[in-house]
Amino acid sequence: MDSDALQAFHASLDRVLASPDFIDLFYRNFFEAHADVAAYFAHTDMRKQKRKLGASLTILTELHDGNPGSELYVGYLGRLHAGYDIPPRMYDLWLGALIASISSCDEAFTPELEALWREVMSHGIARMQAES
Amino acid sequence: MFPGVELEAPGQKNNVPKRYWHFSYSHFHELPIGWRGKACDTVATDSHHIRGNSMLIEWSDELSVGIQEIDEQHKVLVGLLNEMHDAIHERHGREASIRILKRLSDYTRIHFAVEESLMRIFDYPGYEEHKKQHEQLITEILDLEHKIIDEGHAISFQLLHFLKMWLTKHILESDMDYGPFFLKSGLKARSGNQGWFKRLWH
Repeated sequence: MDSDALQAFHASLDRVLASPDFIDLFYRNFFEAHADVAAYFAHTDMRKQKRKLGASLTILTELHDGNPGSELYVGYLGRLHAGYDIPPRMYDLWLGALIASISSCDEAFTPELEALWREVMSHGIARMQAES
Repeated sequence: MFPGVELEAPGQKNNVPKRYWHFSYSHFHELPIGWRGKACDTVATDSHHIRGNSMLIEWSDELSVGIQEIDEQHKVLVGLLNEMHDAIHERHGREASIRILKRLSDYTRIHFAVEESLMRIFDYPGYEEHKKQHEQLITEILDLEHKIIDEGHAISFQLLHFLKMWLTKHILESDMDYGPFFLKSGLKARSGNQGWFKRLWH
């Protein structure tokens, strides 16, 4: 990813995180993506869970940016998630719901930005899945 | 361009241009993004030398959970990470860093046991989830100890920053949730000279 693309991605991330509708929309899309999704959150405090989404997007971005410690930290998150027996298709649904939500909340969303989001998030997801 | 910490790398083996061998941790974000990971690899501390100093984690109110004794314990953990940071900067040697890592590991287990005791006493609804996080965090630090002590891995810049994230993210993203709950349940924010932790552990 060249520096212009990286800058465009970070600007999109900032817009999305600043959107008041983004987090609720994401979880609505995620839960509607498949009937099995809700079962993974049956005992989850959704208020806390929603707070974690922004942090998750940030850490996956930091991994892509090569920030120090992020490789080890995403590996740790992968091992933590492995304890929940999350199948790979659940990560695909997560990414699909994320892209759908961003397309609604980022007024500057384009197919090029979608490709950047997929590249950055897929990198982190692959790192996490490597630990399961 | 990057004042503060001066970093000496013996070669350009990681393809980080020489002008970026000298930078401060606090100016890390000024590095071109694609070179950040490579720069981290370049500063593996066993074979390279770092001069200069800056604090790894500065305690601030942002990290306070609002309960004095828990904050004091978190400050100990922050202090141990800063101590490890200093030991690496000031080249105290691998054994000194390992001793600090062991203290960090031991104190973390004590601290987590205290938090979990409070959660059980006050019937904290997030207990199971929080305990699971503690267990994974302890597994991580024991695994790091094993890799470093038994397998000879270096205590690197990456590792130090992982530990920083490991601690600060846990405080900010999980511990912050129990503060208001404990206070509402009757735990005092300030414990005076003889707090419950001292009564329990000394």
